[in-house]
Amino acid sequence: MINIQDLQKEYNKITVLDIPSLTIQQGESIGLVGNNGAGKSTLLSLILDIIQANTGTVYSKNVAVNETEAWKFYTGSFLNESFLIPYLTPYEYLSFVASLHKITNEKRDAFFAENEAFFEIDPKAKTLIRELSAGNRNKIGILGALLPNPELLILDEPFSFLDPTSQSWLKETLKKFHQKGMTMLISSHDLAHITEISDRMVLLEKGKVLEDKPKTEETLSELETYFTVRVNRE
Amino acid sequence: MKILLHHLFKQRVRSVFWKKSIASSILISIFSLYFLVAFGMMGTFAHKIIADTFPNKSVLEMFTRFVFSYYLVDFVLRFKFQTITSFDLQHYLFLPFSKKKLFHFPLITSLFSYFNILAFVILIPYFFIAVVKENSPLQSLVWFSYIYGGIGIVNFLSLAVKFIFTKKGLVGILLFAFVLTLLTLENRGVLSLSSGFYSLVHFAMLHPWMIVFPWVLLIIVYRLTYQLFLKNRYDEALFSKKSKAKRLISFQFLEKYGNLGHLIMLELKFMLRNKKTRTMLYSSAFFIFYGLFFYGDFDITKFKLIFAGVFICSSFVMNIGQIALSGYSSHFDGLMTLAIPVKTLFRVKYIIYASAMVLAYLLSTPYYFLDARIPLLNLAILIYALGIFPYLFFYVANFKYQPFDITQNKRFDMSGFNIRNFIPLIPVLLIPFCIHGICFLLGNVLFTYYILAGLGILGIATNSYWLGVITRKFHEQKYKLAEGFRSS
Repeated sequence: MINIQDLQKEYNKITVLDIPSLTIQQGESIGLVGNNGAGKSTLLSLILDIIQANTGTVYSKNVAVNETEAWKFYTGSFLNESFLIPYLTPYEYLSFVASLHKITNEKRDAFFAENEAFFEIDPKAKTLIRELSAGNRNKIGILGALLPNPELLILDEPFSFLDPTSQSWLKETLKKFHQKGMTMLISSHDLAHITEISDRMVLLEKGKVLEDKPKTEETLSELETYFTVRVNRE
Repeated sequence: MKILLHHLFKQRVRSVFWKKSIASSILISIFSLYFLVAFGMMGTFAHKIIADTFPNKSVLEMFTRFVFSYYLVDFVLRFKFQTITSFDLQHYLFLPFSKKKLFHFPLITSLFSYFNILAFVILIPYFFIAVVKENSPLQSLVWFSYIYGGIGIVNFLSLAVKFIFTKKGLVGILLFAFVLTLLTLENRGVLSLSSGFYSLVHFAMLHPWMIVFPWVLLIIVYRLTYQLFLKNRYDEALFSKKSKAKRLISFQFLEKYGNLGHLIMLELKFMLRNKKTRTMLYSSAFFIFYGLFFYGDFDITKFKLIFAGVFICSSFVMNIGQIALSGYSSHFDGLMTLAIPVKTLFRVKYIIYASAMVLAYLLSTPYYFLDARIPLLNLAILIYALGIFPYLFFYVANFKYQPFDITQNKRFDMSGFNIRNFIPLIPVLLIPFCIHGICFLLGNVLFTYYILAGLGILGIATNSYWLGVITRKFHEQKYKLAEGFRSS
């Protein structure tokens, strides 16, 4: 699905990401962990072609992402608020996304009904996205990414700003979508949640892949040890 | 007051403005100086010029009447350009300052704005060269009070109207139209308010006690402006977000047209739901009246007709086109990752821009009653504009990395106002000017219109090609744009 080669990104001559090679297979669910500044968001942004790599290429379905726009049609993503259109209401925004993927109104409304527990979409509501709380904006972004039922889903810290109920809802929903075959690349600081929904963990440190292995029984405790030991070291 | 002045000075000196655009600030300084000198000369030689041009009339009368027309024009100009010390008073509200003093501060400093200095430069030489010589000192003083008091009144009145304008767009446009109508009537000699003004000043000079009137009026206008200022400040700081009953137009009928309909809907909402874009929309509507300045003496061979036509048909593009991409700065990443091919995005923009130009043209057709040929001439210009302008603005947009905040309409805010904004205007006006010049030399000026229309048709026919060129440039530039927009 995604194939990364010799990817390097520098800011002010400091290398913030350096990945010689990384491959994501169709149907995999990858959890991306690492401390602030480890390069998680940079990696996701490079895959979505919103920043330019200094060297190397990201291939999506064997085509370089910076050479076509084809990937936009099978990739659902939400990294941060700048992915939302602030002057639309949630209903309008999601309808807009639906129209881009030629989803019928019936299917769209069914999607709204299914996910009512997460965020209730009221067609008549007049609150614009820019007037919503950070948590609710986050929910809209996640719904927007999921709505077209994309082959590839890319989320950056989806659990942040969410209340506990919504967090567990999101966890179950992502698991459900993954079981149906959706490929996922999700970053998170919440080790318990991300370990639960992923079947492969990638740990970044200072822009490099420190560890990349399938999830096992021990993964969570290993990760917890890694992050606490770091604290003690510093 | 002293502290505020001190802070203001610091704010100005330390402003990023100086660091960012040295070139444009030098340019602006040169222009400012040029106008100062020009106005000074005008004041110095006004007496002689008027005496030569109107040998049969009283120079003082003509000058006073001229000043009145100047008030009207000045009013419009100030409305558009005058900046008030947009010193952020919020920071001082909780400090132990007297609130009253705080709100008087920006109003009083507005008296020292460039516009007033200009007026001063023109009035002072004339006052000493002409007025003092021919009248008694007291009479001179009365004259000066009326004339300069008038400037002060215009100063505060334009501010007051500006406060109202940001609330209700239509009021502002109507006022513009009103002033324009007055000027036209004055020009045609139908209704001469300026001679009425002169009669008043003349009468006052004979009855010097009337010297109090302009000052009383000035105080009243000042109080009014102060009240409006106070009220608005409060309004914006406390109630702007919550208590407003909202009307959202959602253009649902466009949903029927699928993908394209949704994209057009998005563009319309972009323009109507953001303060800044809304103001731009209103002010471009105003340009439809622009013709009144130019169609006074209708001479079909003049270039100014093309100039007027360009502004009438394409003021929308000249306004909104400036933020063709930077207007998206807050959600640019979203647009880059959603399933919208970039070329489609530009195509939709083209459709919107073209519709706006056609609409402006249709609204301008009543100029038919001034001269039956105007709509036909403007049609040629419209076609030219349709085939050239949007492409130019889109292309230049690819190089504007500065984010643009569409949600704020800070009064008197010039951020995003950039010398680069003028680049597309150069070919927009220069090409017709050159063609006009060549046709003039060849002896048939009307041929200009055929050439312009021809160019336009060519541009419209090759629409897809140009959008392709723009899209390719966009893909080269998109990372720089995205990076620039993120660093707000």
